[in-house]
Amino acid sequence: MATGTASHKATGDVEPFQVVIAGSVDHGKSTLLGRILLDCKQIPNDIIQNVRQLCTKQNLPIQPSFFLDAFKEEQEQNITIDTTCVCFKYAEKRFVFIDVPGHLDFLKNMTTGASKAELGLLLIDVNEGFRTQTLRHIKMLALLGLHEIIVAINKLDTVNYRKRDFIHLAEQVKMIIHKEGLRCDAIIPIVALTGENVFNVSSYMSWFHGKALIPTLATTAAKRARTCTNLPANFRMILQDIYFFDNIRRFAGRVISGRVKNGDRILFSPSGKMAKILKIERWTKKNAGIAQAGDSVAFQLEEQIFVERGEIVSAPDESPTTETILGAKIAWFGNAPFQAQTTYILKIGTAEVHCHIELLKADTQKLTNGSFANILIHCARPIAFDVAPDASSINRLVICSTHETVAAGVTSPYITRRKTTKKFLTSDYNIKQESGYITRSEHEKIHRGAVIWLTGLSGAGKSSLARALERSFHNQGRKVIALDADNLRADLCADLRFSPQDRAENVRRIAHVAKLFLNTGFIVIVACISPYSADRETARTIIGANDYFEIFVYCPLETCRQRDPKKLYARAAAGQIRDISGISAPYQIPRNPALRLDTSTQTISEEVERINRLIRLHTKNHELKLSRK
Amino acid sequence: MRNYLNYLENQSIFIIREAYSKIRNSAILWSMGKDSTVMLHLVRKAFMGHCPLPLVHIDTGYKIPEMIEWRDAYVKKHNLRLIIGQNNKARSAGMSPEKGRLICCGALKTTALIETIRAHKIQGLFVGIRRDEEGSRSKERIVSPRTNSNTWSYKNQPAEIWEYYNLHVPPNIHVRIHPILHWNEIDIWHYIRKEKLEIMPLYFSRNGRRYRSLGCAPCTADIRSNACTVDGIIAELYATKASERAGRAQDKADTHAMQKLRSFGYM
Repeated sequence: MATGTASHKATGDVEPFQVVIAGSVDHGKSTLLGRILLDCKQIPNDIIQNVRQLCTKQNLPIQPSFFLDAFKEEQEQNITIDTTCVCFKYAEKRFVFIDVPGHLDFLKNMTTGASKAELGLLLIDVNEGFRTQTLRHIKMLALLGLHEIIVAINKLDTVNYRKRDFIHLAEQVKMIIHKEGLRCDAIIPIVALTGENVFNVSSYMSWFHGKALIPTLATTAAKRARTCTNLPANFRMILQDIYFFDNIRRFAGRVISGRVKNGDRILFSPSGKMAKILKIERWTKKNAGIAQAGDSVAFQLEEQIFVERGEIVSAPDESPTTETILGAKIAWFGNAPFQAQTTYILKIGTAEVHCHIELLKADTQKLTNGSFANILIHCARPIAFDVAPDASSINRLVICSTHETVAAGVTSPYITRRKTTKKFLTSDYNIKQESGYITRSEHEKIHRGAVIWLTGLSGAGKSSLARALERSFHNQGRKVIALDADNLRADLCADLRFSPQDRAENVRRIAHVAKLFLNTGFIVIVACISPYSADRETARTIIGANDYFEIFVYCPLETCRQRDPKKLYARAAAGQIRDISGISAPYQIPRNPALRLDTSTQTISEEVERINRLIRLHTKNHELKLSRK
Repeated sequence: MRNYLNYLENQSIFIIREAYSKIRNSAILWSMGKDSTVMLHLVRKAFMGHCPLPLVHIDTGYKIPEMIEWRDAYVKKHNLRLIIGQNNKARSAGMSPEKGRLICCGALKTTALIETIRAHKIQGLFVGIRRDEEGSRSKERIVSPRTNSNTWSYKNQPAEIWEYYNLHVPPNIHVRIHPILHWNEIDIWHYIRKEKLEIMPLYFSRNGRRYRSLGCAPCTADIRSNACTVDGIIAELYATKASERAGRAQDKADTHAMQKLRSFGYM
């Protein structure tokens, strides 16, 4: 059972470090945790007395696992059915240990526990070695977003503390963990039942030169705390509800990452609505002024807008992706296997949408309890999400049938498949495409073409950079052309405005023009805000991913506003124009640009040099290929 | 540095808001004890000082009289809506702990609770239990459904991944919502101190004795203690070697007594 009478000395410290103890059934997970609690004298005397009586009744010596396995059925069958966690303090650091079942039947309970963890502690019985469930737990930890696993090889007493047995298994385990993309910095031989190498180094295994288990965990926790605080993160809040108490409308939710303060402009996704924060509240504080990652807050807005639960709140220039199709990696643990025709419910943040699932790749033929898969999710309406590997972004999802959560996973990069206009035209208007002209490879005898796509806010420095780049390539004797979206809006795109649809069409036309030049061996420089990631993906598809170089021309909104070369921001502030990306319309930051330039800190010549280097590499590979021919 | 109590509070408020946004017809189970009083305070925090939900108190008729006085004064002072649930049939038939502790708890608490839930069509019940109290509670989910016969299928609990809670409630069943499941006993007292909460006086020492956990008079023992302030209680908890519910007789009526009680719908 979980006890914690004297678990921590002071309450002035930070969030606990959550460790899940994973591994196959009977490898000693609950026993280890019970042993830890006993050794740090954390279990009240009367509880120890109860467990002792229970064990005596069953003619057993005292079972440390009984402190965790509280259910009658668990104790009788010596198996963990459901997860629990216990709080424990060591070296001034607060830990939460999560006990999970090892048996495949209880995988959903294992996932429930493991989803709260930051670190996996994998337990392996030295006699049994690597089991199917061991591998499944490693895969699950990787899927849930953990980066690192520490391994404890248990029951060394049963092999006479032999070094050979340990080393043999340790090498195998390390390889498998690395294969799943996880780090494994420590493998420790232990005896959970008696506590050898748990708190203190064991005299039975003097051949082992590493630290004991708990000190190793403490070091990892300290390292993690240091790296976590250094990570910058975009502001994200999930909207839970809108309250109307005391005649005031308040927007309640939880900050997932970053921070926000009174007076900030915010964007709601997927609705695309924008507003300004009047004040952030945290009862009993009427005006908290600021909110940061982890905070449950409520805020009032300056303007009255209508939004509902399910939106993601962000800064206007750092919005999440909004799509109806998304890719994901999932683990299935539903009682019923996956069915292609079924409508499921997708949950991301507080949003819930009906969806259909398309199976791309799975490790088993049928998706059943314990299967892992790559999928495409087709949603009934747009949903907002992040596609980034870090846990601070909103990339975690679950899939539910009517009353049951059947799968969990994370979003994965996926290039939207769209019906191309080319297909549409040829089939509907019976247009036949002519061939026989000079081919691209003939054009590229001189040098290889490329498209350098500069995306960023107005005032970030795209046009200036495009001019400098064009000059630089020209001086190197390359065929080059700069396509400035602002100029094209005067002619080719004169019929277009700034609605999301028009912006998409604008990008599509520019991409096709760029493609024409690319095919004649040109280096094409495009300067275009292109604020929606879906539109940029369209450009990538039209141009071809190999020749498309997305350059994120970043500059803080404040600096853009100060530069304001076209006086757009000033006119927007005066209420003369609408739909300014980053202010009153979204700008979705590129997740995987070929380069990210910060024009507020770098000079133009530095930026030109970085892009030059990138393109040189691209053309050099091409020339190498040519010379080999 | 972010405070640990803030961390706990943020998590609890998130849970309360999630449940309220999905299940409006819910209620707060309030025993007037320290835990459910902290939970009530967290509800007020979630709703900017308001308590939009009614409270439910299950009155067995065996409560310590002082508790009832304190309850009525508190409800009046904070302008709360209180539903009192009682199993009058069992009480008039003379149900008492002498008939068997588990039988008595089952009739006067579980049955009374289930009848109240049914009568008021409650779909979500906020319950202030904590993992560190007792074994079967340690295995709970934050959002825990009861079957249509109000039992807890503890051998087949739903998945609860990250902070995604299953709040789609089919008609005729109710879910238990446990917003302070992740708190420990000592966190509760640190929080009471930080927020300066009003707490039932029985927790504080009088004549060298106090209650560490409150229940029905016949089945709850007080402990020897000189802690007459919140600070005193916190200091005592760091030193003690006894468990919180050592004075609760029903826990010891049988092996796995609480598991049995709770599988039938006990809180």
